[in-house]
Parts: sequence; C-alpha cells; structure tokens
Amino acid sequence: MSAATQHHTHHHSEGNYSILTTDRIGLWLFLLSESMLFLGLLAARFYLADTFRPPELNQALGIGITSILLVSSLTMFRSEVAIRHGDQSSFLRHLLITIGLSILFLGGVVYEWSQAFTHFPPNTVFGTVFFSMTGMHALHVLSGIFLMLLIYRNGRTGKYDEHNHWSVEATAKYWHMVDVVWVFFYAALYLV
Amino acid sequence: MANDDKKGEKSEWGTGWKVFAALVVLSALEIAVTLMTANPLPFLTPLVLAKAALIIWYFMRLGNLADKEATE
Repeated sequence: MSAATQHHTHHHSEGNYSILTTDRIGLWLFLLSESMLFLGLLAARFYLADTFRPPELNQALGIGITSILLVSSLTMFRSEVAIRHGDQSSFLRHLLITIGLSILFLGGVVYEWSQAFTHFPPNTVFGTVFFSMTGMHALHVLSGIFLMLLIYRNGRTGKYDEHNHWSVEATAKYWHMVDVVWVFFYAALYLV
Repeated sequence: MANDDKKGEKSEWGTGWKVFAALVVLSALEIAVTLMTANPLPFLTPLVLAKAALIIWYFMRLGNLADKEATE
C-alpha cells in the first residue's frame, strides 16, 4: 500500500465518518461511561450523608486544590492549542506545567487525607463518602499524570505536530473530564 | 501563513483565558452562596452546571466532534 493510499484510508473509513471522528466519538462514549461511575458516587454522597458536612473539613485546602486543578485545565488547554498550531516548545512547556500542577493537586489530597483520617475516618458515614469520592478521583488524576508523562516523552522526540496529535487531544479531553468531575465533587463535599 | 497560525493560536489562547476568568467568577459565587445561605444546594446546582458546561464546550471542545482536522 502506498503512503498516499495509507493516508487516504486513515482519514476515511467505509462509512461517512473519518477515523478521527470515530476516535472522538469513542472517546466521548468512554468519558460518558466514566461519568456514570462518578454520578453513582455523587448520588451515594447525598443518599448516605444527605448534605452533612463536618466542621473539621479543611476549607482553605479545598479551595487551594480546586484552584490548582482549574489552572491545570487552562495550561492543558494551552498545551493542546500550541500543538494544534505546531508550536512545539509551548506545547511541551505547558504540558510540563500541567504535570507539575497535577502532582501538586495529588499532594494536597494526600495532606487532606492525613487530616481526614483523624477527624472523619473511613468507618464513619461521611468518611466513607469522602474517601470513596476523593480516592476514585485521585486514581483518575494518577492515570492522567501517567498519560501526560507518556505524551511528554513522545512530544520530546517530535512525534506530534499540527497534523498529527490525536494522543494529545485525547489526553487533554481526559484531563478536562477529571476537572469537570472535581467541579461536582468539590461542591458536594465542601460546599453543600 | 506562519503569522496567521500565530494569530489563530493567540485568539484561541485568549478564549481560554476568558473561560478561565468565568470559571473563577463562578467559583467565587459558589463560595459566596455557601457563606450566605443555610441551604446552598439549589443555588450551587446551576453554578456547578455552568462551570461544567464551560469546560466541556470550550476546553474539551465538544463542538469539534465533526471537524476534519489533524489526526494521527
């Protein structure tokens, strides 16, 4: 198969959708199925603990880690925009900042856990919902960091450019989904 | 051509900043509502949904599902 034919078949599947569109639909379906898991946890929070919120919750830390995650979404967006326009150095720089922020977020969660174990341990009702929700979310943050490290390594070897960056787009969408989940979890755990 | 690309990148980056600013404002409103009301849930719900919608539409670019741009 010639390179031109390979290129052609890559962009057009047998139906009316390009491979890229199919990839995107697949990713959105995956993210939708993930959101069901998080919706279940959100429902469990209100079913088990209603709107109870212990006074010992560290509000300053909650605001801090939420801000870190919001900024990381902006830097991830910047990184993706940069590679879509072929700006390699900005892509790598902002990706690295995002990785740093996500590690900082995880550090904040670990610190929050160390306090939470004393004030509302996992065998209490609020402890159950708190550790389940933040734990499941932290696992997704961890897998997001792994994906970002992977595209950073590939990006350093010049694997992505303005025409070839689906992995970056997919990782960015995944990372933003992690942020969306936290938008709901933060309000449900710290604010209601 | 390279200039157009730079302009496009800057324009998208500008949109990113605007969305981020809106997210910060909505977050501040969430905290204000929590401090001012005894039962903030009905007020928090639309704010949280608005934040999620902004991220999904602008950062996750839900609208690009049918775009035929770069691929791998």
